[in-house]
Amino acid sequence: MTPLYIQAFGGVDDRGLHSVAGTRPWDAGQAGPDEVRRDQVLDKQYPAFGKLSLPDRLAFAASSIALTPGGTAPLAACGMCLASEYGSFSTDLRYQESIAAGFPSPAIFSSTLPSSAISDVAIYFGIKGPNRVLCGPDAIVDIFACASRLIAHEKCTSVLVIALSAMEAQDRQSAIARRPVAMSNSAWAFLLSGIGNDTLRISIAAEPGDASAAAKADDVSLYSLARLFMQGAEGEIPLTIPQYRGKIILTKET
Amino acid sequence: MEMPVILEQSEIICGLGALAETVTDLIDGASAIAPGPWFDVPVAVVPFPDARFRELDACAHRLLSAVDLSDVRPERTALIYCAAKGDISAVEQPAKACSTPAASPDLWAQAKAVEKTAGKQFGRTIAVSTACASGALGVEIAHELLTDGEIDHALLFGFDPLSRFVVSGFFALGALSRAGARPFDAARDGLTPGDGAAIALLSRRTAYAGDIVIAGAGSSNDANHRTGPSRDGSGLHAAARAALRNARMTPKEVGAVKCHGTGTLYNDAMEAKALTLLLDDRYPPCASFKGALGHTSGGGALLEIIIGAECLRRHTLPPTAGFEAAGIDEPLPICAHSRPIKQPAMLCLSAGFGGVNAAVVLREFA
Repeated sequence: MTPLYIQAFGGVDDRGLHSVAGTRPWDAGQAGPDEVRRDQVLDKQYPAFGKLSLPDRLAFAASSIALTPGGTAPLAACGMCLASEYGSFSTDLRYQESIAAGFPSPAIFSSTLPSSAISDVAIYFGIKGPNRVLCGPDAIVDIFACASRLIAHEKCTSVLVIALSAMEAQDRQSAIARRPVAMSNSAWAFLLSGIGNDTLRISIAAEPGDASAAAKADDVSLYSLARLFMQGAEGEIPLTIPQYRGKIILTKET
Repeated sequence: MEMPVILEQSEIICGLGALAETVTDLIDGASAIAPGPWFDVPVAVVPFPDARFRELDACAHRLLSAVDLSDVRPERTALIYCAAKGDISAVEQPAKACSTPAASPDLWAQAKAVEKTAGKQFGRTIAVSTACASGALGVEIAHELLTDGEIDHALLFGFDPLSRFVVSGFFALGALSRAGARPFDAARDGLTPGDGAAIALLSRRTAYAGDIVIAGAGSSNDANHRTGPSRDGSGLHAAARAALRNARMTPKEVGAVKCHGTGTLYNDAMEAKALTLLLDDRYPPCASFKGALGHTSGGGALLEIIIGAECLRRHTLPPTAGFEAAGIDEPLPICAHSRPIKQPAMLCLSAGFGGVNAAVVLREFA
């Protein structure tokens, strides 16, 4: 795997809003990431924010935290890789409801694609490089590998990797979900480059595992990864997801 | 000597049938567009000859039976499932889905269902979903994995059948033609949705004369609009340039272009601009298959690449069904009749919602 170095990150989960500056808890009365507001992640108006579906809004929020502070490299040639654990599951159900009501909604339909979660990130930040969008509980491992290959094949020099786990609460018990569903939503965005600059190198040591021994979908703790990065600390995070066994490793390189 | 990525085996199911008959019919100028209404929507579509193939299980059985996997080591193989929506029947009919264990709107679960039908446990199972460019992005991922030696084979499976869900959505967006898509034509008025499914086995090995090589692939984002293409074609141009750079080829080496060519006003105008930027004043013949096969969505990007490869083998580019009078500003040589492919390389273009663009370069090894 070609070395990847973390340049910036952002995240939203039950604990709050995560940035290089630390974790900011949700406001009193704010019920976690599902209620994230534009002013908490972006210092400019962006009218489209309020119209985004839940997965799209969370991906946009995490990316905004990662990219807004400035100081990041120009993004036009940056790649973007999304791991979407549940794809557009909730948006699909909302669109189907609009069909059943006799008024198929074009606005909802345009969000019934897993890749819709990168649309507004690309538009707002002007990210025009290559894209990858993978779905499923193990997509997070493959998406870091995709980012590494994009850089190794000289298709771009930096990649925004987004890990998204988002499903509306009312859909978590749906009989057609077919697999364990995380009880809360989260989105993480890591801006990675192929050149280290006094930052931490991220690598994944993973081997194919036994798919029948699928563990909980949230076993890859990107929160742990974010905490290590915030602390500037080296460390390893165990990885146990359906197809892989291994670990995410953060290494200091000077 | 560097070993290229070869398209070993492939098969499709689309409105005109399987691969061999589809390409023959396309070259003969056939179209499978069927007048509407469909799903209570007053538009034409291109349906499968047999509607049973809209079920993933039946489709996977049919397509997997067409490829020989006996020499494939599963642990060194990636199954790459490519779909925009794939099988959405579980969302449309949840009660029926609950009695069908494999039915799920979850694309990863659909990929695992294909793996189960194949009767093998592959080293990796990847579900790619980048709207209507999914199949092309799947080929790009496979090309990278094979080139890096991470796998020996990639089994690509593209699947996007027609559904009320998809047809009503495009209709609500005002994107559909009532009578049928006419890519690049002056009278074009929208796209025609189509059933589509495809399978391809890619390997990295020494090439022999006549092999179709995946020479390179590239992608980009317009960063412009959620559902519409960029008006200046710069995004698709960037993807095509990236693919040619990856293939270590120049635009002058392209012998034919398989256009995305949806038949919408804006897509075709954008694509003509992108190709003019890329090709300068040397245009190889260009064609879209969507006037005959419809827009087969994310899985269809793979389907069209496979058809493109077969056209390259036959050294013939089919006509663009529905194209009569040019409706674009650029002098793009859209085929109204079959044309010979004089240089053994084809540029295959795809684009999708979210501003995603993808390009794949095919080359016949001489």
